[in-house]
Amino acid sequence: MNMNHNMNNDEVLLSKFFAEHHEPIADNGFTERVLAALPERENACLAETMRLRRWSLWLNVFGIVAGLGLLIYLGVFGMAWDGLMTFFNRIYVGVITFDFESLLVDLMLFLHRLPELLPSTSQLLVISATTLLLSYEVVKKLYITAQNENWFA
Amino acid sequence: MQRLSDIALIAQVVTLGSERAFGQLVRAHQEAVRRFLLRLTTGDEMRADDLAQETFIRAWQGLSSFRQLAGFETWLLRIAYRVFLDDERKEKAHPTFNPETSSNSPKGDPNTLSLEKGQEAMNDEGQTETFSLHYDLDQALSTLSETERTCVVLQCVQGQSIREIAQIMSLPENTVKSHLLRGKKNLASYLRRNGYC
Repeated sequence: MNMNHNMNNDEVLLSKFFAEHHEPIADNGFTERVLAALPERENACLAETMRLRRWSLWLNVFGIVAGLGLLIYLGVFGMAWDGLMTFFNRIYVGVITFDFESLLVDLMLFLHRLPELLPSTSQLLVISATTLLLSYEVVKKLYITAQNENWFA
Repeated sequence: MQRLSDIALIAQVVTLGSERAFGQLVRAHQEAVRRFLLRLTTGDEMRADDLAQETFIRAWQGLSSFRQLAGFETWLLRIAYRVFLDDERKEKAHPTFNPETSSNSPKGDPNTLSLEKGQEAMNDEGQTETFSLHYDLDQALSTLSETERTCVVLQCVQGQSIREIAQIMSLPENTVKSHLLRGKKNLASYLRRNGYC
């Protein structure tokens, strides 16, 4: 009880003391002196952005190469190539013979076969898994960089 | 409002390297930083201003690392405290003679409040009064240990919370509390001993 009373008395005394000794500090050219003494500053934010852009560029290149490789491996290109060749061949024949009916039928056939050219569910699963794996690697790398460079400080 | 304005100015400095925006930040926070350093250096205005300038230069160089977890002023005071500690270390390693601070320093006689310095400058009455008031304040603060003084100044002069003081000094909150308690108690008893009530 007595200790609390003393502490409160101390608080009152110190508040009064510091209030009495408080007065504004005028700038008096301080800001100008600081600005005159500023050294050249490397734009750290720009450097960070450039580093991230470089990362992003390499990631894109890797993603495109990996994606193309995957598509070739799955035979999607071969199927698409065959479909397109058949389609254009039929168009060519249709134009030569002026048989617009068969041209229309070929167009409908192509549109009908289009879903077969797209990746199947299992192929989509493989692509999704690869994308997830790549994303995980990127996030991990970014997190390690952030920790090393103290971004959260 | 001040916080929003600070963030807008910081964004300009970080993205565009705008010295004008940094100037506005310095103008807005120079008083807090200089007052803090003035009290830490127990009234050595020249040294406090040099340290404040160094603080703002370091802030300019490291502004892109400011992540808004702490307020800008708390961040600046943290830098100021480090600058002060670095300077203290340098000072201890290579002590320099400063006639102004050595003859009239508040550290000279820590047991009583002295008006000697004030009496020497009796030309202007108003100035003399302000001068002696400051001298008393710095003499009173100089009776505390460096850590106690920093805690007391940060709370009583700068109005920082215990959490912010802990951030500035890189100390646990409980340690800050005990330094504050001891510092305030010592300061209050010193003031009472010298007839201040």
